[in-house]
Amino acid sequence: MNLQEMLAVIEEKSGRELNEEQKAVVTHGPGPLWVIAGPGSGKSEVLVLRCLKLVCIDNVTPKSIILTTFTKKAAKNIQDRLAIYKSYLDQVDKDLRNVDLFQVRVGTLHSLCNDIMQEYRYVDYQNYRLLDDIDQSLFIYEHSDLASSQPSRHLYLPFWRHFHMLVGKYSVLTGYKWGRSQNYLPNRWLRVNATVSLFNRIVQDRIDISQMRSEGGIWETLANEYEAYQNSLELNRSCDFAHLQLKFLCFLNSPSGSLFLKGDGSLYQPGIHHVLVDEYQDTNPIQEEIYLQLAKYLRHNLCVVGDDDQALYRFRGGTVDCMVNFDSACQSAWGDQVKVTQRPLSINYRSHPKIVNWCDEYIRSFSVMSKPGARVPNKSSLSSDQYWNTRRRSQGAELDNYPVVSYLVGQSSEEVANRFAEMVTGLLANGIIKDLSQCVLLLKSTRSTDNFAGPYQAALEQQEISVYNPRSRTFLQETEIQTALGALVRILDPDQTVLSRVRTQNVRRTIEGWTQTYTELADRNDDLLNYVNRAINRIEQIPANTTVTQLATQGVTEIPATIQEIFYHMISLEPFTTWQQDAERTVRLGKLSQVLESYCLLPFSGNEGSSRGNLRTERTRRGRINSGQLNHLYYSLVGLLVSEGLNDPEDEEIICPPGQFPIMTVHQAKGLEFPFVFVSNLVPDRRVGAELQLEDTMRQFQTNPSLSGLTNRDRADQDWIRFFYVAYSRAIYSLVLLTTTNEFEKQGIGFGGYVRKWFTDEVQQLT
Amino acid sequence: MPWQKFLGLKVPSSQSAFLKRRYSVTTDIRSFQLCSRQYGHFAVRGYAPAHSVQIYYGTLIHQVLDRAHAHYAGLRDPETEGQFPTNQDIENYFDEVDQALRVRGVQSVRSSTQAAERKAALRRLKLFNQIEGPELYPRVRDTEYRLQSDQGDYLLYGTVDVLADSPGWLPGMKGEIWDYKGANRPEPNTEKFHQYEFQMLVYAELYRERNGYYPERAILYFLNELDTAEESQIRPPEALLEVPLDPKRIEVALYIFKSTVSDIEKCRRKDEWPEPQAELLDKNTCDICDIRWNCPAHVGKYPMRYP
Repeated sequence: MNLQEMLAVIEEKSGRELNEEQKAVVTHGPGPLWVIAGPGSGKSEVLVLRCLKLVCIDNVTPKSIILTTFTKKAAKNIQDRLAIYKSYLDQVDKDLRNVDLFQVRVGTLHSLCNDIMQEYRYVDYQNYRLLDDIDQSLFIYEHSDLASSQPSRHLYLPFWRHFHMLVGKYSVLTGYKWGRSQNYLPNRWLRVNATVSLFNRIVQDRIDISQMRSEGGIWETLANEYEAYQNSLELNRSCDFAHLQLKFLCFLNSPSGSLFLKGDGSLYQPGIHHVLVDEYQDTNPIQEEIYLQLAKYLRHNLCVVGDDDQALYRFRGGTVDCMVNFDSACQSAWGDQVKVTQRPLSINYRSHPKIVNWCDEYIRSFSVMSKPGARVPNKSSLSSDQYWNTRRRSQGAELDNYPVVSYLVGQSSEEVANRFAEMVTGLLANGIIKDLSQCVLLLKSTRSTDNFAGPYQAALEQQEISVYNPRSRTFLQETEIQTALGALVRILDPDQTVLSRVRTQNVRRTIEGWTQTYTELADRNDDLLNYVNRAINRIEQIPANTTVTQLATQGVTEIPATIQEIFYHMISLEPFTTWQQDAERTVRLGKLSQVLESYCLLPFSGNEGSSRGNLRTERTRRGRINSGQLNHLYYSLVGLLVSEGLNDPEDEEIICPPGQFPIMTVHQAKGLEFPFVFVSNLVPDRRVGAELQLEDTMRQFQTNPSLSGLTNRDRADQDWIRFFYVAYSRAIYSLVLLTTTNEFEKQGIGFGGYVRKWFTDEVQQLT
Repeated sequence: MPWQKFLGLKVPSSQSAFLKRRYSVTTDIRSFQLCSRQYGHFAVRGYAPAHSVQIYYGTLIHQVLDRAHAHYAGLRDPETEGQFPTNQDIENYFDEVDQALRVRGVQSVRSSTQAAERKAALRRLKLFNQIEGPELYPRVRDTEYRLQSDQGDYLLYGTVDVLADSPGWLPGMKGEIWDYKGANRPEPNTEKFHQYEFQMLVYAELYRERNGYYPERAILYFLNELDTAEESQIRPPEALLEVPLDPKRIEVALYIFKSTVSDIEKCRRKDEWPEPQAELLDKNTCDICDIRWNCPAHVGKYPMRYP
């Protein structure tokens, strides 16, 4: 089969013809390829076809190809598409049937780093526990002096004053905002979160620690604390996501990494010949270094696809610079003689031409976007598919005169929300949409507060519209969660002696709320009440300074009793057994078990292999769980839950269940599309955020600092512009902007960079 | 009303792009066959088990044997290439893995018998190394060999412990697949025996899909049978089981596989995960199952603990 035949088969089966830009990417020969792909331009499809071409036409060994995506779901989607297209080709060319496309290494960069190091049994990674965000926060709470309970004020006050941008914020736990002029340290959880940011950034930005240490003062403190953290991770065989990437870089430079990259000429060790990267705009410096290392041999076959205008992940170290400066990064790594081919994908197949036009005009309307370093130089305009109307009509759409891009205004956020909810009801009742899940409301945050999702959620529910908002951070308010945690506290601290001494009022009140919920439920559920009382009695019999144990298997042996096990005992009783019949409640309880696992697996500082989940009695008093252990549980786990909140578990297989109206953050909506898109909070807070300030202050120690001369003010504005650009470009048929009169008067970033007349000419008001 | 302006628009029904589910021969299919209730809770609803005991012994033996293979292949240290690991090497690898698992909190549940269990495990591994190593290690072509297949509605995948050349290998010969079991060989014609065989038959089919032919042999190796081996280093007959690769049996195994997937899908749709039939209950699995307290299959058998 040749290339033309392959494309003809795919085009016939999929019913879509590739345009010339797409073909140029698919058929590109050796060497680095830099694809600048606008929204809806079919970039993932092009990556799939390029991969298929490499394997089926160029006879590249599948195992020698790496294809990375941003999410696990996107990786599965690409694997599925590869399998489907391959099955089309197999029907035409039987010789291709023995080509095993599953050997292509498809995944997120994190998952590939993990899988490859496991596959090669990399000694410095095998049998490590990978820490997720919650695990990492709890680990730092336990192991880092920066976040300890009794730190040296003399040493750390100047430190946190310097990094006030990370800790100078309102704390839910204390109820006030810490300021630089304070003579005491910020709340412990503020310090934990700030420490997570600092340590992750050191790794992600490739900070030179020895240079940082030589600077002295607070920088020396940070360098020392970071190294202590690294040592703790190693001692406890733990690895966070940032260090996963760092370990992978070390692996690539090890003998087994060299075998992985170069191969040994056999089918089993073919080496790495091609690297394909999706969503490259959100790549951070350590990831860029990994990609450049992966493609350092042979012809530097590194193909990156992304859109600088859709970069959203500065808070994870993704600075758009990697996308904007891809050509110079390749030349700096491999020499000036390396030719980097740039290809655009500029035709948007997703959105109505008026939406495409609005998005393109929107991003160009800001002078800050034309500054050097803001966008890829000489970037093409986004253009619409000339057959969009015909194609959508053939799919059953009716497209007679309607406001494609519009805005809805109200005096207050409640009025806007009510009008929006009425509109949604009308759209559904009149058959304009077939299902609520065809719409989405996009916000900066989906927390159920007055500033964000709260009014919209209330207005929709008033219209009896079911809302899907798994990231509303209301997990802890659910009855089943409060009951489980309340019962647990009742068992471990029956008369609340330890709880009553907890100084953080919000932690204490929250726990008291849980025990109250438990008490109310226990009144009606004798089995649960009986279990809790008998567990209290059992603990009362245990001598001082003893590990609480239980019989493991029918009287044979004993094992430590853990918090997790108490949880499983409780949920075998009513009302939990009934709650487990409910699809939402049972996955919520499942998530609580994961949180408890995170806590239980936490090793004590200085005691590798120990576990916070194992229960002990007081050193000198029988029948009481160790107060230090309880205090730790309250301040660390509960402190984390109260200060950060928790989201509901999300089903990765679905975007939104049918019959429900999704409320999402723009980050959640990345890569998705919806027929009706509503966007609110159009006037964002333009203050330069902590991440930008940190970027600036750390740049002096970066191994490869960004050369962009953009100020942090410029970068803050650019981030917001990209944020709205991503939101607006999710819409297929209709984009509706929601605004209060006050916001409309202010004309913030969400309204575009031109004068108001331009906005009102382009965007139709809904009355 | 704002919506009235949209009367000219009718959005067609959206096509949901469903992702194909991934099913592993062991972690999905065998787990579901073992106990659908447990599978539903932990694999689907996302509950986190309280003990990682079930993986301790399996991980230990697999990782030590993996190191033994890597030792001979010179993958860990080029200087050991072509050398068979000594008893001391095996002991060192054992300690290395055991220590790493302990630091991670993964260890045997039976603290009072742990020392004896560790000793027995180490003895088995040393015996395996002595009995099988000289003949097997030089033939090992790959370890943790991954296989995957598109079954239309879902993707099926599995990992065989060892891919080896056939004895007296010549180009064109089809290789062997080996799977290590940290267990005794079950009685023939029991459900467990069939499930082990079934797993190898499915691997053989995945192997055929990838390579165009079945493997020459499919071997199950039951390490606990080595307990009966004397220091004479003769393999006990029960330790190695060659699963006959009859295409008809493979077809039946695939049929069972597909019907198991269909059963999982049915359970998923209803979100109902019934307990297993009494004859399929596995004592070792149930004794440490976190959700045994109210399991309908064991009414009264596991009285509640406090705590």
